[in-house]
Amino acid sequence: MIRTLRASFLSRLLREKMLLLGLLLIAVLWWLAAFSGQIATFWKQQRSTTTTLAEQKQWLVNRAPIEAAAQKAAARLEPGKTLDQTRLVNALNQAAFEAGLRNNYASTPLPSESNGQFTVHSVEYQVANADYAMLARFYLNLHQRAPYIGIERFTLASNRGDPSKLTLNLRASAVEIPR
Amino acid sequence: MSVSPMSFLRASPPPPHVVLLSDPVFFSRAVPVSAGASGAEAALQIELALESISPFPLAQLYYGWFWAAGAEQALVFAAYRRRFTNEQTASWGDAELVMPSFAALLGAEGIAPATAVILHAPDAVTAVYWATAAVPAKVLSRVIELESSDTDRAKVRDALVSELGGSLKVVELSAPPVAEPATSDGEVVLRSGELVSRLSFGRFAALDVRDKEDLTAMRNARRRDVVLWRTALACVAALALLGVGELGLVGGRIWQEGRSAKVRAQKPSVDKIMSSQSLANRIDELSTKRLLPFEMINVLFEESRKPAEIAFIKVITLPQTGIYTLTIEASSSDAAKVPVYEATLRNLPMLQRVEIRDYKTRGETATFSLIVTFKPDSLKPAESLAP
Repeated sequence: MIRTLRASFLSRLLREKMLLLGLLLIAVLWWLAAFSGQIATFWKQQRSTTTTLAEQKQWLVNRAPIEAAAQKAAARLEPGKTLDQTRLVNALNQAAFEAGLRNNYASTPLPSESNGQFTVHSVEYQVANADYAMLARFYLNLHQRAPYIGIERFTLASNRGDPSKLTLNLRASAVEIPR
Repeated sequence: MSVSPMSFLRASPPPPHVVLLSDPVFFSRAVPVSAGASGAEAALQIELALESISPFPLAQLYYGWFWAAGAEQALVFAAYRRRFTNEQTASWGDAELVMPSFAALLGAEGIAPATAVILHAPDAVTAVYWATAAVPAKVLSRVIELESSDTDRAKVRDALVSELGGSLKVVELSAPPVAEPATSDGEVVLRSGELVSRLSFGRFAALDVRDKEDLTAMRNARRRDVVLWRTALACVAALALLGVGELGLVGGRIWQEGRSAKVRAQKPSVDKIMSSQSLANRIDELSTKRLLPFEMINVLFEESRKPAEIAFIKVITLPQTGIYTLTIEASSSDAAKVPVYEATLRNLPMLQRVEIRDYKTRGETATFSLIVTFKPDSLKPAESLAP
């Protein structure tokens, strides 16, 4: 068959040979370009999937130790003393009030995170234009509620107009364990 | 009626176009070739010999020769160009090989020494005589009428055999050899009855009587066409490979889809485990690793460590730097106090690292960032904080 095709090809005029070869080259280049793009995409996807599967396998293998660690961590807390979102805000407000702060504090609740067994609530809390001693008292009041209230982020800035007045921003968190 | 593509592909390739010329038009001679001559040397010697025996210059001849490597003689044959009409020579253009009919026998297999092959063409009877097996020693040809009887042909044959010396082994061919479909570029196979003549490229190139320059141009064109054919074949092979690759890709996508489905199926469970891990870490940090910012600030102030010229503008803890690091934006009304304060802090045993960044001065004043990292567990929650 090849020899028949060869004889047929060789018997064509030169321009016919060149035309046929040109068409074949264009077809090869076009297909090769399209195919290499598909291969690159496929390769990227399969590598990403391989990595994801390996990570998932690692997590699944460690499921028991992780859940045990979470249970162990939660066991350090008494469920009755843990706080939900509202109680967390109230506790912060009470700590501020007991520190002598009046009407210069505000809270913004953040989305809670839960794994079904326990929930972590967070609140952005701001105390504005307070002196250092009052803020320190507020801070110590919060400490008395540890580990049921924890501070995760902290910013203390002096006011430009009156450097003796300070603004405190903190993110307070609490774990809620259903009773 | 049109021929279907499949029947075209199933058909065997056509035989090479070989033009066999009338033998009596050519004169032939055996000429000596020096022992051990290479192909090029032999060609030169043969052309010189032909030039010396021919009444015409080579440019006015159509000539060719047969020589086997190592042989000490060659058979050269030539015809005056004007013996051929323009119509005849025009038809040679697309031929693979143009030679006298007897030359088609020169690649014959199994010819014993002292053998004469008698070739009956319609217009001639030719005798090719091999004294040894390598190269024929003599070629004799006689014109014969087209309507000649078998008896007349037998008489001519007997005369030729007698002229060759008689008592020979004689092989008779009733028709000139015919080319068979080619199996390779390097060989032309011709057959007449039981006799098979194989002419390799090296031989049939010399047997071709056409103008040598034209032959060179034709062979170059042929080589170019073969390159084009091989390139076309490589393109077709590449297309076939790409087709196989596409099929492989389809299979790969099915495999990949299965893996993606597995990832999707596992995702809820994995997300739950990750969430448990994250929450466990946070609970652990809330209960055991407490952020103590006021205690850290106190360390930087107490025992009048901080010069009065330095003022803290902003104190920040960043999640990325951890719970033991404070980042402080500060200014100093006396730039010289900054390195002093830095040195004081570096000497504190509870500090792991003290760093000044973005230190800028304007006159006596300076602004800078102070980054202090405490050693883990070096701080205890305070019962009270000094103002």
